[in-house]
Amino acid sequence: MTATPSAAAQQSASPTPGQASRFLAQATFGPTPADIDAVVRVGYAAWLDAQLAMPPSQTHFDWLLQKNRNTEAFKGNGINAPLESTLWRKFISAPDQVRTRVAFSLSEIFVVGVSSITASWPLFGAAGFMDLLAEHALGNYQDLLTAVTQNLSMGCMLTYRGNRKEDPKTGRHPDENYAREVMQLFSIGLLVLEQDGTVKMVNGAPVETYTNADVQGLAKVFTGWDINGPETNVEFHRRPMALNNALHSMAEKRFLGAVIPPGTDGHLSLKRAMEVISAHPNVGPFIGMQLIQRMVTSNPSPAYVGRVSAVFNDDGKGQRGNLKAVVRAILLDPEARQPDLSSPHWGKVREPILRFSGWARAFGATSTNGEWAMPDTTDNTIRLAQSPMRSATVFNFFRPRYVPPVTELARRHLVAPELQITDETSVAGYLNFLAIYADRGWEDLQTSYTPEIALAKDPEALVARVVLLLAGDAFSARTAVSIAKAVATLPPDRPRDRVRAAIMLVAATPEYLVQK
Amino acid sequence: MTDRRDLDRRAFLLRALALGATRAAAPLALNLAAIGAAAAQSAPPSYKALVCVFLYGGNDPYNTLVPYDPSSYRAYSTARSDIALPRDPLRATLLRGKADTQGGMQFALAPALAPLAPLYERGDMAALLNVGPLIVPTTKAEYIGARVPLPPKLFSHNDQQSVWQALAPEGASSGWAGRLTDLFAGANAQRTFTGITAGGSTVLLAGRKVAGYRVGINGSTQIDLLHRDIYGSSACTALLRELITEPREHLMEREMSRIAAQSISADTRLRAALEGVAVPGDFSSPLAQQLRIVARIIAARDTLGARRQVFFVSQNGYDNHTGLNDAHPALLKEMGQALAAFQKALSELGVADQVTTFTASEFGRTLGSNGNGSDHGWGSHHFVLGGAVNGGRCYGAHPEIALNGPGFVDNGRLLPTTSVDQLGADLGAWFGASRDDLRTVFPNLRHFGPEPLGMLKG
Repeated sequence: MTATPSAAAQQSASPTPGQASRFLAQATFGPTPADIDAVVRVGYAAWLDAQLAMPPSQTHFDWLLQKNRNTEAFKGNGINAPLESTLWRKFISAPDQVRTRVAFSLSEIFVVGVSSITASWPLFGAAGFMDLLAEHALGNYQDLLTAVTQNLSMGCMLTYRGNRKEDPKTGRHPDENYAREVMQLFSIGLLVLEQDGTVKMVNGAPVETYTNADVQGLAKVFTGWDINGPETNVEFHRRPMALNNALHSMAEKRFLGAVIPPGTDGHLSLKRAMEVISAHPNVGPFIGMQLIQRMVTSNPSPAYVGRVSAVFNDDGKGQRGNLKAVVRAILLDPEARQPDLSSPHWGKVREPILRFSGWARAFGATSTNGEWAMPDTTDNTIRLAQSPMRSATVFNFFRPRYVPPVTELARRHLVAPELQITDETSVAGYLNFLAIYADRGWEDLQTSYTPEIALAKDPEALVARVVLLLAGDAFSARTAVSIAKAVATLPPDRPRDRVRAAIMLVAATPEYLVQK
Repeated sequence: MTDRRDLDRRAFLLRALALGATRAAAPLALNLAAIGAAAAQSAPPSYKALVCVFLYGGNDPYNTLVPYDPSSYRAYSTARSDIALPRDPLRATLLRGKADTQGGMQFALAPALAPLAPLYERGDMAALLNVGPLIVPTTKAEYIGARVPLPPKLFSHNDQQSVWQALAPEGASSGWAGRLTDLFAGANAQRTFTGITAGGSTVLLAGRKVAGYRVGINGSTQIDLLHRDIYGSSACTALLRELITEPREHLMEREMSRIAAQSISADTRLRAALEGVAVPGDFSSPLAQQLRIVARIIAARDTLGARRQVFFVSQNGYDNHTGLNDAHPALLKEMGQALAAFQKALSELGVADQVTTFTASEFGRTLGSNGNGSDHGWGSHHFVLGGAVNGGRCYGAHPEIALNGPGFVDNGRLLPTTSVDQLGADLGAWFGASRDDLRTVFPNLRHFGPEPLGMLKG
């Protein structure tokens, strides 16, 4: 695998603990003291390559089976609590952190909400979908897109499970839902892009990538697919959907300049459609840009996007769509590793899910009994206004091109996706949840704060550790000093309260809330 | 215009009359401009509010307002096959009287919307047929040949949501209701409480200076840590307040702290204003709970010093590509009950004539069936409710029902005959904006005739 020259130079440079912490916030669900030490010791690239070589850890699906959640009690929708358990379990404790984090990022591009899964045991559907994303997260894009397309949960989410071919007698047409969204959201987007992610202008105007006729043509491809096998046990969720060629449209299928001739069966049509979509020049910049936004920064430079697109288009061995190479390019890019930390728009708002996982990992919180009894965190008054695999629509919790109106960001044409779920209610809701979990954990998710308590007699040292673990080297000394002074007003004989107060204050600051 | 309600604002009205302001042609903003700031200061205008009920996902127009006369119903049921509603139950919700539109077409409310039928009958609700985004009046031939400018990114959820709310696709920096309220910036004591959303993030309410203020179903949310000393340390609590609200250089940090500061100050004021303010009625559904907090805030309008407000509420789930007739009736039932309860509450508060509610949605859906649902369309039907509505009739026009007829594009998608700009302009004129101001707020209005739709009185 080739890296850019400056990234190659990075491999030998030894990061500081603060830099390592910032890298881990991009690459994982949050820095731990051990990971910071490891990155400082071996460097970014060697640490990352070890991660990228790891096989997937125990799947969500297998964990739910091990916990006997495949019983009648969990068959209906609305009783999906164990889904939270396993998702947060892996976010917080999985050893293959980079793969797990990339899978989570992909779950915000290829979006499935558990409440939309219209099959028995929807929690296994959502768990299996996240497993599928993890399996392909470091694989090939076309394989990922094909697996997503054949997945039953996605077939439910975008309603093409059971989709039938057109009927000229009644005027019935195939369901267009997946055909539209697979292009708009999962692959190419609405506008023709340059390789650096900027919108291509022709005669001063953008060009739309497809028309309604393309949607209608592609919709015929996604006919005839449905659940594979009986709903007697949960395994049907892991099998790709089955094709019933009698319900598949054998008409000509035209889309994106391609023509699938009449009489082509469902398997071949699907394969051809996946090839055509995956080969579209927009995929590299469209998917690359969003992965950068999910992991590193909301407004990457065109040059950064261009470097990632180039790796998507060719991994150096002539392979297109190698996601492992793309992830490596994103995380080792000089713009990610050596940003101008004084820039007024570098970075991204830390999404609420990552704030919670970051706290747990920083302070070693783990399940005391193996149950991981995490709640649905969707509530915006006392939780996170966001809960994994619970987006209400396929458009995710927030949009990649969201521009907060009436802001300097908007005036400068900058986006801030996570600000779409940031409002007068949710800012209070996050602080209210923080006040709970930093104080007393959540159910069986507990931490002793032992290393922090050992520092509590020295508030400056305590705050320095909290800052390192939560914000890395992107936190002002001035704010750290103010926090240390405030923490020092708590009596030294209540070290645990000093720790909790230090964590709450650091985690409440805008400096922390914007990941650099 | 709003004579009856303004009678108690005699000073203002008398000045307006003295200056020769005419009824229809010189609504409020023009009067204000003509009269000057002195008059505006001496007598604020009476209260008015708009309430947008956004139906996320793209509401299916044909199973909301169902063609009823025999020939239209036949065309409807042929085109819709398995997703057509049966005709007999529609008799009870048939829109009678002035409901007939061009060509003698009749419509009935979906049976699930029965709670709205009495509102229509007593003239407090109107239907607007086939409204949608347009840049200019557009024919089918012009659409097919792309011979006129078309709204960008048609049929795309997020973009058409933005087009309905801001008349521009995703990324728009201001919404039409925000631009409308900008015209009345001086009318409210607190700019924060001008545009309020109980229905999630929306660009609709964003103006030049402020975006919408977010409330939950019980009003504002308090930051608990600021109301007790953190582990007994007032220094920690004071620092927390400072850290989360201090102005920042980084633009995203700046936005986080601005929102936190607004959250704290608005919570204090709204909490006090809503203390003891209850609105009776059945407000149990998610949509109704949003409308209840809207009604409570309207009830507290004097305490809040509000004269012009726009509210946003929303309902999810209208993207019924599948299972249309399982899911859709339940959604409409929730909407109908919630809107009926809201109108009743407004009447009891004595503000039924001062609050106008309208539905909106990113697009209509295909006339034809995809098996058991419908796909993304363009034009759709919507409702306008309130005491100021010239109700009990349908506005707009509906083409002959035929999948590939001249009124439909791309196999069964209604080509709008009334634009969102025109709908907004009717609402804006009632709100008090002048014709000139409306042309600024609604950039494409000038492409449509000078005649208002006339859905609102005055």
